[in-house]
Amino acid sequence: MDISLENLKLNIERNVLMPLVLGLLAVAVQFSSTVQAQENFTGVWQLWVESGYQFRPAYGTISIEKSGQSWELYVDGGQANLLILNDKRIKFELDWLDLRDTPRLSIFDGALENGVLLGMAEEDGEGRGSWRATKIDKQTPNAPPSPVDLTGIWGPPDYIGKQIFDLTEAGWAAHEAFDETLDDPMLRCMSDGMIRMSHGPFDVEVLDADNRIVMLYEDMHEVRRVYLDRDFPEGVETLNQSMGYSVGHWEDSTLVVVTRGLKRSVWDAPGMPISPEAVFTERWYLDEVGILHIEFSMNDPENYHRPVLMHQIRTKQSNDSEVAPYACDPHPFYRGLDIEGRLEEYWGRSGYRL
Amino acid sequence: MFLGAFGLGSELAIGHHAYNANYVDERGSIEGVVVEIFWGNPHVHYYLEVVSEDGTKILWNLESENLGMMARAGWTIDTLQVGHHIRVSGNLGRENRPRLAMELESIEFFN
Repeated sequence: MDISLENLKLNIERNVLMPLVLGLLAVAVQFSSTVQAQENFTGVWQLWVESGYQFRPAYGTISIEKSGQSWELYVDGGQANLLILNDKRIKFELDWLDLRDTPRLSIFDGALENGVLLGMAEEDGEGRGSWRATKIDKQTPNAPPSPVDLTGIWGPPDYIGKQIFDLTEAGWAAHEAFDETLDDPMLRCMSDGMIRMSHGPFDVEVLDADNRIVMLYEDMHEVRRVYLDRDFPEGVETLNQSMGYSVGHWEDSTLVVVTRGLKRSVWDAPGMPISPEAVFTERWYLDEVGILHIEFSMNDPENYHRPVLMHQIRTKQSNDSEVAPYACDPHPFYRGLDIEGRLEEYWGRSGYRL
Repeated sequence: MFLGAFGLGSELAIGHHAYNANYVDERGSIEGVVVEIFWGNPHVHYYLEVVSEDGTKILWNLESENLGMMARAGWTIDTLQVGHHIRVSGNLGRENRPRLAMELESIEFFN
């Protein structure tokens, strides 16, 4: 056996270094493959969940983005905790609010198969059914108008119900200052506003009136007019109205509605804030079985780092159905505070009235 | 599945308001006599006089649903009246406040 230094070095190179190099190459190839596979996840996906907000199927939007050497996942514009993202598997936590605005946390576990994310969701070890997500194609801009009939009474919506959004410092301050047992305008029978009304558990009746579409909300019996023949009035940003000012147009068979001029308020019971600069955009369209889809995006840079999204669906009610009356009396709010000895606390928060 | 946990869809309307801020997950059952009724929106309320163990009377605030949801559940203004002696269950108020998110299907009538 030749044990010369030269031969020993050669043997080391052959027996140790080469496998090491090959191993490192394999790891690098695998890493590159994993990175490439992870890149396949990046983009915007339309999420479908078998059991959504009201335990019927619901839609949402997933955005998977690369940030430095890691990936981030957002659902409906709010960050979700990404647990696993490797060559095929994806697992994340979704925080959401149930019908009682109670915080929930579901685990979504799935895999990328033929370009589609498929998996199962669970919470506390119990199944929430299946989920899937498909990449969203870029929509064709400026498609010629092709209006469809959206009139009728549409039942309460379903959606994902994401709880936490990407709040700015000002957004957090507004959220934390809000006491939902005292400051919520609905408690005093004041309008809950355009955005909250748009996804509350109530019917909405849609009427077509030539140059405007009229929406009659069961919630607070608010009336909304979407003008199809005009732009926003001058100074709309100072309008300060709970329903704002809405203008719309048709893109193909989708009604696109933009609302501005909203008053400073909240758009859910726990107190997600809205500023007067918020721009609320909706896309109303029917699917192939006549379900109404409303995808909305709220852009409010004062309160959120990225737009808040929601994709809701509503089912058309029968022709003989009627929107229920909704006269609101604040009596039980004040009576409750009286019983609980909290009236003085309420009067002391006059600066927080929304 | 959650569906079973929630039962009737009649809890929808409360969820639109500050449900989670006013109530805890813990459920309770109270017995007493209805002394006041608020039949209207945003939610129907019943006020129940409950006699505690030491004999003191405490007024409890029972929160129900909006009028539309009450109608869908088959309730009218006459279903539960002043003077009715009842037992009812639901989620209890936060910070031991005398408040209950009443579950319509849990009610028992004693007169």
